[in-house]
Amino acid sequence: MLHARIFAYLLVAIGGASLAQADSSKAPGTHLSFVTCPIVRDTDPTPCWLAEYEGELYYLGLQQDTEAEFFPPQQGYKALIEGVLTDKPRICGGIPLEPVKATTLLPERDPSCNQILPAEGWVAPPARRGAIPRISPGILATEIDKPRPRRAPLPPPEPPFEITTFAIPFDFGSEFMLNKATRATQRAQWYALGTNARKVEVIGYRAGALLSNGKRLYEDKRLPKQRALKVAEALRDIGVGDAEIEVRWVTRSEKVTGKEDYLLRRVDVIVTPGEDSAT
Amino acid sequence: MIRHEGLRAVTLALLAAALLPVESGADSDTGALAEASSSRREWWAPGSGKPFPERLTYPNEFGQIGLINKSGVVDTNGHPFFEPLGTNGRACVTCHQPADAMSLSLESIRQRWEDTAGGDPLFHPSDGANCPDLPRGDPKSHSLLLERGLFRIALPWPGKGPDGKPIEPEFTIKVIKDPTGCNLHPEYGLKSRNPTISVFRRPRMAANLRYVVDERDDPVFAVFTVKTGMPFPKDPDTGKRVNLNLMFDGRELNLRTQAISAAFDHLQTHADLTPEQVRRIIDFESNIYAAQVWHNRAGWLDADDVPKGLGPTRLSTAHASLPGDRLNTPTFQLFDEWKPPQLQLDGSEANEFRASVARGADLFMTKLMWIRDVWTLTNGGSGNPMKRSCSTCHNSQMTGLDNAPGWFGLGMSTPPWTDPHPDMPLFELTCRKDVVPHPYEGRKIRTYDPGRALISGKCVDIGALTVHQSRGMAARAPYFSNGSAKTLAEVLEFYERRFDFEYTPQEKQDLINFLSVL
Repeated sequence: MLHARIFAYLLVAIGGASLAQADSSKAPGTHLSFVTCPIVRDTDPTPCWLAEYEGELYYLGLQQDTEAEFFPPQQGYKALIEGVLTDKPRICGGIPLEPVKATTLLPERDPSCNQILPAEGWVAPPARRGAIPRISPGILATEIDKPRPRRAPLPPPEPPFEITTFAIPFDFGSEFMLNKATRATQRAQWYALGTNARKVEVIGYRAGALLSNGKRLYEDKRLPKQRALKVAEALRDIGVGDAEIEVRWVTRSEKVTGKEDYLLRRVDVIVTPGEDSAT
Repeated sequence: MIRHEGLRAVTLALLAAALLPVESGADSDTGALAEASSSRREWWAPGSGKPFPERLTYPNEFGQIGLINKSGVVDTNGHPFFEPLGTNGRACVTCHQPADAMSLSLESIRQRWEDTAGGDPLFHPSDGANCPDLPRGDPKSHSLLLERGLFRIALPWPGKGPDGKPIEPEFTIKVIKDPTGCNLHPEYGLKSRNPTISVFRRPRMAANLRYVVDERDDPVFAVFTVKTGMPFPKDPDTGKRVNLNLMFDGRELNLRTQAISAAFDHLQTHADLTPEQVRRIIDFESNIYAAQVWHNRAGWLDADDVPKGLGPTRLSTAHASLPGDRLNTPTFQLFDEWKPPQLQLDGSEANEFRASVARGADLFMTKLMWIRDVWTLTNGGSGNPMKRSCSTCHNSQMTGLDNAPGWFGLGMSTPPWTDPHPDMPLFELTCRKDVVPHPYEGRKIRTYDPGRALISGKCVDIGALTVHQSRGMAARAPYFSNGSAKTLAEVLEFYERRFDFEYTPQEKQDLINFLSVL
């Protein structure tokens, strides 16, 4: 069944390749940044997320593929889409943007952002993990003769130990730590503890967005502080010594260029290894 | 108006009991259960002194609930779970009745009211009445308990954070309707000397707790919870990470603090339980497993030839907290035994029913719906809406708890998702302008139960409540934290309304049958 779906997806994708070239007037590699209502397409086996800009439909990614870089936004709000145009075949009817970042623009509701398109013959590519109930590695709870799966803890970091920066990403206008932010925070903690860090600097930033139409979006001035305090709180909670943590924030907005501005909405955690750690 | 449906249940139970020896004769385990099941459904009164056996069964509308007590026979004389510890005559067992899967069914509540003319400690006005000063013995004073199975949960407002300091709420609370009179009461209400919010909730099951309170020190679990974006809290005693599945609002993190606070609030103790009392309570309740063990239409559920997710025995031995939203490791295990070719559809009612249950189990995993506007689910990068199934949230194997534990803003107690409840207090919460509003409900929210927000003080948590396990459902109606679903059909109807879809009549019946065997 799954193979049939993948085959169907490939057929549709091959068919859409020429369409993508014919419809797109923008060159691959072009950075696009725009605000729009996110669209869902009710494809099998997993819904796709799309966005329309200047009359063209773009493919963003799949519903809840937890291994993917793309995390879907929320309908009921407009979304900020920042991505790079590709020349890949259309997926779910849209030209793929890759990499792509979609951020829900809270808190103003927009009830008109509620479009669910029918599949119209499109089939979604298979998700790597999490999008729908599927066959995945694991054991049944009643298989008590099998050991309960355990994940081995990360091995300690290996020298040479150097001052290392971990970027903790945040969504536009938000201080909520999504999966990518918590994973990066854990990575910073792992390095700080593994190198007996003598200093862990936590620096909060904010950045707006330069849209493709020339307009600019700005983040709230309070965010750098809120983000930095939150990351510092999380680091303390998971074992980084309070004495080593230095928290500060930059109220001035980072300079935006319209190219991957989302990478600037962040907290940097700069870990300085301890002198007693191996180098 | 109090309806009494006990006669029907007793009739069904007698019918079931009469069938037991035929069905159970081949299996020694089930034979032991059959012997115990000859006893009638009974009320465990505090201080009764009866020994608590290793296995128990009690009749219910669908068949029988089975309990396994892995401690071995427990002498309840002087046992703190069974003895009144406070001043109101109640014990833990008062609200965690074995016949009701260690929760408390509305049927038992009404039966107890009739048997004692409202004099049982269960109806003590401290929380068994709509407000403590209402005249005891008048059914109107206890209407939320008698009509919905709800106890008053009195929470200080604002509450205290983990550091013991008062939280700084992101919202103000106004009482819009107060049919109980308690939230506007000069002594018990929001404007009293000790400002208090009274919400009304069902007792959760004190069984299968190994699945409920697992410590998350195993590296297989994430340190951070997707619900808050922050690390899971730590057990105040062990320092290990804990999940947040224990209570509807996550306000107690481990069984020790839960036992102490429950004794104080519901048993009216005036001093903390002793460490020995706490140890004995935890030892007892941690060794109790409860699940439906006999179904009037399917027969024994604890036998070798039935699906392995059923019955209390396998529940008592299985691995806890494994993810279940996968087709090869489904929440309640595989149902191959009740599907062709293993199942012979020979026209017998039992096999037709078993096939229906198996279809229901598949629907639980695969019937997709557009899940929309659920705080902590659709806001966290999953997409809103997301097309998923029941098992998306009920995704912990064997119990249907949430394997990414914490609370959901599902709208269980918030209009328009819940029906109007003119007998319950209605609150209006207004979020401060300088805080993040609730993403789906806005800044001004009316709800019958602010849920987690009463503990966290956060606007986004308004109305959010924690998933309860899906075991023993046949024994413990009504369902949901506010008892708003009187039947299994009404459970499904809530989700149909909430996510704007409809089951076919066959699908609905298959799911009801499935839930009734858990």
